[in-house]
Amino acid sequence: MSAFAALHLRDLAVHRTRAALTVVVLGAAIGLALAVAIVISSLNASVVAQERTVSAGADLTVTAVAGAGMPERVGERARRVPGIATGTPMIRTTVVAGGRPAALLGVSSTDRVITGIDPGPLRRAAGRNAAATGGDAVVVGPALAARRHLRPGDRLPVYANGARATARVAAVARGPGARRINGGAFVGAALDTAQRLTHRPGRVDQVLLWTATMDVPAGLGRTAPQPPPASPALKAAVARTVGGQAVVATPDDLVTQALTGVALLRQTLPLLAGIVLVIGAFLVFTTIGAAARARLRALAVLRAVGATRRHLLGGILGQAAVLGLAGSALGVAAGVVMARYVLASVPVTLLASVPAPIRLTVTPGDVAEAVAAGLVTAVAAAYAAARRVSRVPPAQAMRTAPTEELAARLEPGRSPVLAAVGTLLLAAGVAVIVYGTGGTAAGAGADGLAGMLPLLGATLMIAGLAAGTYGISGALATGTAAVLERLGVAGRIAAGGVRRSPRRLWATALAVAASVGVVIGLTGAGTNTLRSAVPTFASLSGIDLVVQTCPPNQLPTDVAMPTGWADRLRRVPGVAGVRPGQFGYTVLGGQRILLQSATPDSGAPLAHAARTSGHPLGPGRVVVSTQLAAALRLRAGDRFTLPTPTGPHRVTVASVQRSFLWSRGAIALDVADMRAWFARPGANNYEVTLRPGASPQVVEARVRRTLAAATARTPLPVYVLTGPQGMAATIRTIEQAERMFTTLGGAGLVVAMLVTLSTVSMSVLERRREFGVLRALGGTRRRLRRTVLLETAGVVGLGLVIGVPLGLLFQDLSALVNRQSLGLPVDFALAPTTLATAAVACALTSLAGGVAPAIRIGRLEIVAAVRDE
Amino acid sequence: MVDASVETSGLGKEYRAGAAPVRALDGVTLRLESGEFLAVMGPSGSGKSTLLNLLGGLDRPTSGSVRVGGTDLAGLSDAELTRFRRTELGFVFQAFNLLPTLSAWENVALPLLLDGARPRRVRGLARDLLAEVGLADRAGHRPSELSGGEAQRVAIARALANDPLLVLADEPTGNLDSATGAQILSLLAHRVAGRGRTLVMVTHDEAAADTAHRLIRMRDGRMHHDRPANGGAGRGPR
Repeated sequence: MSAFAALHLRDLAVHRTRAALTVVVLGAAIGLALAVAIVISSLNASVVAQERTVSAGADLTVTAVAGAGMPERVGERARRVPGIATGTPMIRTTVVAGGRPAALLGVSSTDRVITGIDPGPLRRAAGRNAAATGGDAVVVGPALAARRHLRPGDRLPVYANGARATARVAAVARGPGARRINGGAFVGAALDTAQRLTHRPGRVDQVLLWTATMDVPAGLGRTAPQPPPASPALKAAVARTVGGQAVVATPDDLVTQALTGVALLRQTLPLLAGIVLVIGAFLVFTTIGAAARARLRALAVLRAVGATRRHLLGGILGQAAVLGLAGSALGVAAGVVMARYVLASVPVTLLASVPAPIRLTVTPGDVAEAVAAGLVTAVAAAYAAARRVSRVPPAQAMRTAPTEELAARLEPGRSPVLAAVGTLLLAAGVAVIVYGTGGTAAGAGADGLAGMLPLLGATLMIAGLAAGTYGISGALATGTAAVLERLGVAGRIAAGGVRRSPRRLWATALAVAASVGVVIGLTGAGTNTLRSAVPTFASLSGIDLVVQTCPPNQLPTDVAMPTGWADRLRRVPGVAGVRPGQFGYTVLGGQRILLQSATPDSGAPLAHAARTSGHPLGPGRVVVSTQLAAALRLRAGDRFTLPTPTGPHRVTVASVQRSFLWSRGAIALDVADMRAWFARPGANNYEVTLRPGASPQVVEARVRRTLAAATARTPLPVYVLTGPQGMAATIRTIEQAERMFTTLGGAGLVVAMLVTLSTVSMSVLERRREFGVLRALGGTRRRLRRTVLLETAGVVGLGLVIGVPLGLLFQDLSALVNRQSLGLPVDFALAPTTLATAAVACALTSLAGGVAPAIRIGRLEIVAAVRDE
Repeated sequence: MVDASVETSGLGKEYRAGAAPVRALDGVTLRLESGEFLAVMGPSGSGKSTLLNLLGGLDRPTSGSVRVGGTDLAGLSDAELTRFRRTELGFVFQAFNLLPTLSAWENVALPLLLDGARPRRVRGLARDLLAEVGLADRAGHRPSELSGGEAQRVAIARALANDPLLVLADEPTGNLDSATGAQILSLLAHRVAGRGRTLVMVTHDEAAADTAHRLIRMRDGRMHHDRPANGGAGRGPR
């Protein structure tokens, strides 16, 4: 390393506290960004891995709707479409095995096997003659085997579609692929065995299609290679063949559908992490800027003795690169640890909608991106200061004026070009949002560019705000100083500090503004979401008891209780009536949507809302959620075709209602229609109504005892809760999601506080001699501390002035994104209490950054300070 | 014989301070022969430092010309001017202006290091220069560990590192006590002017000015007085 380069690095070492603070903050911001990237990519990877393992490299899949299966002949028709070389039918559903949900996979013994699994046990199981042995031979996944201590030869009760069966464990699956399928909690069997276990003879759930004959790699450790994409024409031809009884999809389609429930995460988390990274960049900006200011004379001397501008620019950017790399290294280590916590903070309901267990994996790409992000952020943040300082006139080396004056001469505080660019970007952002999105819900679940328009508009507006305020930083400093000057002598001295470096004021105020904006935006958005969502779930509180096959904070979509249990519950003393219901998923218009069956008098939100509006659901009459109605352009009274496993059915839209059940939308239909059209007997939830005068606690206890007796024979996961408990659990899920985002926003606030601490500390250091003179002339320590706190307040105040409107903008954008991209009918409404609380919390946190420097300046030694150069 | 002459013709510098321009230097014409030692005196604001800045290529004139060693500085680009300073000029500042994170020998070698020389190659030269100024045993010390006089000696050694044509000293004894200042002046006279290098020194100190060959006094941006100094009596440039 040249001595010249070493010079710049030594400067970092001299100011090691400042450098360390910058590295730590940058590391935390990069760590958060990496953690988010790991979680998002792991979500994708987990689903992709499962799909590829199960689909064995298929080019297309034909999947029955709503998990009800389809006749085998549907798959046979698909296999005969020109362009399809071969296909294999599968059973692919959820059963209850050993008392807990597990995936059931049934494959034909003569066709391809699931990749990644040792084919031996599966083939042997598939070849057994179940009828001769009196039991059904199956292969169990390693997780299921471990959970139930299963060994070959053991009996395994399997419950599916309202009925019970028993299988015999032939083997425990081996191979890495065994863990990819539902985390190893699965049952594999021959196709006919699986059909018998699910009580659906002649029906399959999925058919895998290949356009070319190829050898599937036999098992161990091999995921199927990425198939070439099937042509849209072929996909359409297969879709025409199967009609509405099944959905045709490519593997990528399946992955996209599987990740529908976490679309909110995939869009919002990276944005939040990016904002925290930008706030960290402001710290680098102020750190490098302050370091350069402190060395202005030295840099002028370097220019005087022959250093070129490139020497100086390269040296300062090299400093920034070192900080960036150090921050990246710290960030990578922190991010790997933080990923676990980020994933743990995701609401269970959201993760439960992903049909694959999430395995956190850190890819070299994630790490490389984090390192690159740190390096680019640091160098980009330092560039403006580096460029400015590299232009220091060499003649300044001759001057004996204090460095602050030198620096002030280099900071014009005004850049008309940037101010103009910033204004244009702001206007562009507004235009994109208002005109690009139509201002109102143009269609739920907009994907691709249309779905990104609100975020694109927000990005343009934020960039415009940053550039525009940078261009008028001098005026902002003057304005802030003018306010401070009204606050006594201390205020006038503080005003001098603010005027001294408009760019530093800009960077710090914007860091505060960004964090304030995020916190206000998120808390306001959370309030809006709750206010919009709570009324839609209000009917749940009117239900006496709910019995369902999953915890209260999840939707019971997979496991159904036997039909006979409804009668058992009706016979419980104190019970007036039992209303069955089901949840399931289907694909409509290319989107994975929620199906809910209920009786017309059900307390379920959609059914209740429809009834209240005078248009209840009934046979052939469905209730459609607002986001789905917008996407399909439906209104009350319209008729449309609902694809079902038993063929397409024309239905009438009885009512369109707001719903927060599922972001892409939901359809509520009559219980009888669900059972008949979707071949789904039983129910996965019951609403239990009490007789007037019955003791709720007593009846609940009786219901629990009845179910305990039932599950002793048919081990199913069953949960009992009151209606208010159900509503509370639902609201908690929404609150948990909002809390997750607010916590991330809070991380940004902490970073902004550190930016404030760093900036005020630098300002105090630069003015040490000035403060020393003030003390020498009789100024009290208290006045000095007040001066520093007032300067901090000035910076924070400017940050609030910018940040509060920014936060309200974020809040409004959040509602727009919820409506446009995510399909949730959230309305923007000003929440004064939330706003005030968030603003005060942000202000106090940021002000805390000035406390340490204020304490330090109060301990100033006069002689040393006055002598300080 | 190396041409270390300095020549200005109608040299002027104007600054904008608000609406009215300020003439810091107004039509200065002078010629220094190779090896001449010039002292520049004058009250604050007379243009002494501005003249020094222009002679040293630290600033550009608004009128007139300046030639050092036959090279017209006004005709050089910023990169060429930078290189000229690095290879042909030396500076001694009132505030020493040593880089605090470099050792004494590294400060001395700085112009050579900036020119791309390897530290190993120039370390010996830097140590030799420090020995010439009496600081052989302080080569590894940082500026914070040196006294004012020692720091200024290091600065003089630095100014000589690239064997310059012209050395410019701005109040080199301004921050030193009289005894130390006298030592510094002696160093400048013998190691700089006495070795055939042209030396221009700005000073407020009459005694310091007397060590020069020639003295000019500035007032209001103009050369007011030009005469041989006591140091120039019988000891003109070689």
